[in-house]
Amino acid sequence: MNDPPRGLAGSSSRCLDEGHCITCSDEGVAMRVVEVGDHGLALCVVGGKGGGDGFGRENARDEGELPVEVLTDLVAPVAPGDELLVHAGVALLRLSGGSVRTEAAA
Amino acid sequence: MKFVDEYRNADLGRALSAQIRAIVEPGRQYKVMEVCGGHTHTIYKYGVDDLLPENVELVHGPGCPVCVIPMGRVDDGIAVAKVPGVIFTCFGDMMRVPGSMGTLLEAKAAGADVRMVYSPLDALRIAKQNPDRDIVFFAIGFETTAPSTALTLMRAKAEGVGNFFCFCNHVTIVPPLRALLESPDLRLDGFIGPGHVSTVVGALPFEFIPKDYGKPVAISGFEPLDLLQSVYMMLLQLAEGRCEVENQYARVVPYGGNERALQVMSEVFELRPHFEWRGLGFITHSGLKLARAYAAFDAELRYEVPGIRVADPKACQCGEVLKGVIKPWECKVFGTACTPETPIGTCMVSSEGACAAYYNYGRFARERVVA
Repeated sequence: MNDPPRGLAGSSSRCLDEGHCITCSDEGVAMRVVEVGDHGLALCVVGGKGGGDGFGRENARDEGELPVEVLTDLVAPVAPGDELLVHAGVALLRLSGGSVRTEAAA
Repeated sequence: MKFVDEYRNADLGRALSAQIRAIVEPGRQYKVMEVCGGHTHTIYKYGVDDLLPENVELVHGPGCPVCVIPMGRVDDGIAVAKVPGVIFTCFGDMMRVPGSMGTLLEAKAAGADVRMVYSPLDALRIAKQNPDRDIVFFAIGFETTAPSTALTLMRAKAEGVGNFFCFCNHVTIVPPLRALLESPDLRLDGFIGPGHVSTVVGALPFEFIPKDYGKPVAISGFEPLDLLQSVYMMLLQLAEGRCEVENQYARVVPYGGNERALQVMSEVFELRPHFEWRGLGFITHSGLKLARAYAAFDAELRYEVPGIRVADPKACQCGEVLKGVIKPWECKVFGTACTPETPIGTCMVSSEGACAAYYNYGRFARERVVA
């Protein structure tokens, strides 16, 4: 976990390439835990069981994205398969029901 | 796409649109402020406003922290970035925000070691990889982002990392809303509350809006149907004579927020007496600084920070845009001297800024035709 598979170049490009700013967009990305590490860190991939992240990044999991390191102190303990809402590298909450799903809007 | 398509379903959108039309009073003008820049982005990306009656106007609020940072703070950041030996780290959009004498990107081009990061944890990692250099993180954002900075600082302290510093520009959401509600320039009928800020603070902090100002609030998700439903919920409150905080984004936002996140924030930060917001001026208790226990990590204590207040460029009307007094396309330099490639004002920098959202999705053209 000391040497994450996703380097800084990959990380930083997210700020610009995806058309929104992580601070200003109030971004929350649904991610799934694939590996629990030490010191509150976990490797996560984008997308819940439904595939999207609730912020327009459809098929994010199918785009070959590598796992990213996420701080899970605020939602600990976590286990592989858990789905989390992540902002700026920190899991803000655990997504209940395993996805960002809710009742139909209308 | 399961769990995404449902929130972009055109039939459901039209049904919600019809429901909204059915509850608005024909002769009444409604002004609804969406607080969050992410909402602004969704509204213009998906044309949500096209589905609203003409007498329902969406006003864009100050929920883009990059947009509201004053030029003087950018200058302060650049001054620190230029200190020999410093590695200055920040989120991507921050690099393009103009100060009075350029941007962080230009400082980087001129030789400063400025690096983009995705999270404060990336900056801490750089600090551990470069023990002989000072690493400064430009912390910015509302309560969504502040816990990330707080946890990183707690980690730096626990691990004894002595070369990591934070230039703190975190802000809080409630004081500017109160300032807007007190503003004589603006008459609002209600608010679309921020989604992910509310995952941290919960719905409770917004209760003052109906209680003290008699305006309804609907906390909203970020998909187009989320926003339509939130507008409907807010207008329904008005139609039924109710006034409360409703949570459309209940699938994500707990009413009480994230207690642990609030706890780490209160340990690491304390409120500044006041903080300057672009377009809104100084607002009491609206900014965060590092608490005394974290003073060793405070970049403002370690470096000479100019701290000079800089007036916005005269041509730029970001202030009026941020208060919802004018639409972006009504600004004199919108789309001409000020574009996403060459922004004059902060609202054109971030894609969540109201001006950039209008510009990127061509709304200005429609508005001009309508005008």
